[in-house]
Amino acid sequence: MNIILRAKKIKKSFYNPVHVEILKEIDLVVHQGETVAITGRSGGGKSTLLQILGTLESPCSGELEIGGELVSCFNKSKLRNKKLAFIFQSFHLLEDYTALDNVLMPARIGRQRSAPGSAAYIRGCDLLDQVGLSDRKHFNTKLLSGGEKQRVAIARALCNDPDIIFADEPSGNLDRQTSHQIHDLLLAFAKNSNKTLIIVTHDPELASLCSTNYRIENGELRQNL
Amino acid sequence: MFELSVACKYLIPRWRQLSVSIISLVSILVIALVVWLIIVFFSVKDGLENNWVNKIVTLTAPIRVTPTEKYYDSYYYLIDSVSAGSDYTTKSVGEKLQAESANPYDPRIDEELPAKWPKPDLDSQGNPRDLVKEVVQIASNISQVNGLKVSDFETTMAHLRLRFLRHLLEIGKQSQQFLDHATYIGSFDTETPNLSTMLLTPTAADFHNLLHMQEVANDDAQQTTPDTFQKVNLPLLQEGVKDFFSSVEIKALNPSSNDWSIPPSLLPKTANFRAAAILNEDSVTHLIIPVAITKLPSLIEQLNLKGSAAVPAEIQIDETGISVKLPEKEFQSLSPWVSITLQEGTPIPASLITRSLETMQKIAQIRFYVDLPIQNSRLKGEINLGKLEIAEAVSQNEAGKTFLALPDESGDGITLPNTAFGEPILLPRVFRDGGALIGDRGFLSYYSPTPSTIQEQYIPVVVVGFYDPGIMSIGGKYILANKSLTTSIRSGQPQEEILQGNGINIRFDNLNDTAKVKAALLAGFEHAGISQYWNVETYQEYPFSKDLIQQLDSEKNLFSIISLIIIIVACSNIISMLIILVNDKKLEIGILRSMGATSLNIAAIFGFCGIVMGTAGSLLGAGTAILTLRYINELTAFIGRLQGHDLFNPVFYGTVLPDELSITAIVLVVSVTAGISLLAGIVPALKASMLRPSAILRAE
Repeated sequence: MNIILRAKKIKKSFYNPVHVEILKEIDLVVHQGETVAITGRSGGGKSTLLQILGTLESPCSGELEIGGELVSCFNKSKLRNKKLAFIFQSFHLLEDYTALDNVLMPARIGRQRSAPGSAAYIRGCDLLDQVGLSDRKHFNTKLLSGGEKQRVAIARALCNDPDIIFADEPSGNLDRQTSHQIHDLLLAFAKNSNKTLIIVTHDPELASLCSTNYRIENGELRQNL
Repeated sequence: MFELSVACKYLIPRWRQLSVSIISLVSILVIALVVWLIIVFFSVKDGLENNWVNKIVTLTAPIRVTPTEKYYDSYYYLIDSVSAGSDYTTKSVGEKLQAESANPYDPRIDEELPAKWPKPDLDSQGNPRDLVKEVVQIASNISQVNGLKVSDFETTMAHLRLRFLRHLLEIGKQSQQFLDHATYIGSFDTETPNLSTMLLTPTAADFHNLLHMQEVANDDAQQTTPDTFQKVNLPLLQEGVKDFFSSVEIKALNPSSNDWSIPPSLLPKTANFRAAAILNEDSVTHLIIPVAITKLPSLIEQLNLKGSAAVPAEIQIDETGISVKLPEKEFQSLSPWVSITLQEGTPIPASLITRSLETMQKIAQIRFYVDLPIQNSRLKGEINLGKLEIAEAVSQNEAGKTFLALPDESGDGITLPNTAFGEPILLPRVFRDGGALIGDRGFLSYYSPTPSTIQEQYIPVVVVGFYDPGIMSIGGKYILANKSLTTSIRSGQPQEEILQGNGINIRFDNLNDTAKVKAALLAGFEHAGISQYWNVETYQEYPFSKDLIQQLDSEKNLFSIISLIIIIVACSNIISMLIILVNDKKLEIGILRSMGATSLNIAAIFGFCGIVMGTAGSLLGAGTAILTLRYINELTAFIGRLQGHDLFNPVFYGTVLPDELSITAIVLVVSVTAGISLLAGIVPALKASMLRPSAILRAE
């Protein structure tokens, strides 16, 4: 399998108020279609690592390659729009927009036509259909339940057909039953469309469903075998 | 464009963002208010300036070419004074233009020239140059200027004395008034563009005066101390009155005071009227009937305020006669000494009974058919003009030329009537404010030197109209008359006074061509070698308009700066509103960044917010300004009524304010507002674009 993401000696420290080294020379290789779970205690650096891998945060040192190219050579915004996608614990949907508008937003940012009948629009409707929300596509997101919101977030993540999906505690705000549905949906999408999925979670059950498991301890990344 | 759609979404007022919504709304309203104010102010100001400048240009010309001292010292000018062919008199520019020869001097007839006489300016063929005709030729040959017209002008001075015969004519009082004024008299071309727009519409009082002046003979124009006036004989009176009614149609009459009583023939056979009874020691002296019963309380109030003891009364007319009922009393027959009249100022629709013109002996005997709906009845029948005033009349253009200055056939210039009573003159509106009316007669006096003494000369004049000279400094003294009048006054005056007020007017359609025409004239004069003889002045440089135009320009610049400052202050609200908005939308900024929005996209969203607010405010303001301008005169009249006096001085601003939208103002204000709003949006936009998405998302 192709290597889709490679992190070399990623380091990250904070100086607020004292010097804390969160990540110590992290090395990570992720392949196309692989599902990766990263676990660890709260404040251990899981989310920071995920944001660095997703180019939302810059490491203090180290290199990050996505699709075989150094991230520093890319326009990061463009990279995030075309190849990466995020799913957050708090859903982070845009308020005052409908479910479909949220799903289509990455396409609009990427200057794709999103008017009814356009390719992006059809894909957005299809994705909402796939997550079981075809009857909610014109609902304002404020009117949706937590599980529905996360489904919209999953559909939105898939809108621009990214290579890697980063999920930060995707079921952290959901009840157990809904969590299971979201896990199944997420992993099924990743598997069916051969997407790489990198999940940060506290949930051992979700971690166990992933093909590769890592644990962050004292700023170091260790694979759970 | 997703940035614009996001920006618009952010600006929609929501309860959740109450502070942002309120500040946005206030910002937009403040901008709208400022834009409204600036557009209305600039439109009205531009309109007034255009009116004023147009009036100056109409009374004069966009460019005037006047002789220099060198001209007056030249052989060309002086030679007329020693030539028999010119009656040994120097000529004005206009006369030079008409003269057949540039050099009337004939050595065989005329005396030998003195030794120090200036040498003639010769052309390439060795002939004396015709300086005036060369100017006219150069000016006429200027190309690519629409409506170019070249003509000479003359201005002179005389003393005007007008005689007012108002009361003398109407109620026989042995008194009269005079109005004396030192005046400039300007000749005007009847074809002067836009001249007719300056003409003031004759009022009912003008027609009234004009009609009554038909009784006055024209043989006492120079009367200065008479207590009476000479009446015309009956055939002349009838002829004059017939002429008047062939030019003027009277539509309504008006009881001027309580002196007029309703003739019994007008009263219906049976009727009931509510009226105000004026009492003198419990007995009724006058009964005043308002047109509508609803107006009775205010009529009684007015009469009581004037000091009359007025009470409500009921008048009953039936076959037994007229009886009146006062409060708490029974009906009593009305004494024949009690006059029944209408409320002062009630217009009575009237039409002339033409046959009465054949039989009348004096103006008051002219008869009219009247029909006035009053309360629940009508006053209908024939009456004498008597002491009634003309309340409404219209002049019929063609026939009206006998008495009034009217627009000519082209509608552009003015035709003065050929009146038998004297030279027709058009007076500036300040004379109307001073009590003058169309039809007033008087004379112009000036001093003319004779070989033995200086003699006062008189020229009888008749007022045929009024015009509005705008705010030109000499406008209040500037009488317009036929060129023949200025020429006859000028020819009788000493040389040094005559010569200053003549030259050549150069007119054209578009004032924007002024600089071009002036440059062409100067170049033409330079090329012809006659520039030393002529001054070329534009309307911005005339001594009587220079200060005014400079002041208008200064005011415009000053207000432009003030407007810019006001717009900046109004738009500064946008900065505070957008900073709050950025704080409110931090999470959304982080989400958009995570989806690939660049810093520039984020900056653009908030920049658009600024522009959208600025544009919305300016469009709202511009729309309101357009509406305001459409109804500006109704608005000012309404505010004037509330205040109890005119909001704007009509002498200065005219009777109606200009209501034309200044396109320059609207384009400038809307674009400047949008530009400043964009600038105001830049600071918050930069702040938003510099937010780190990871920090926002982690914090949330």
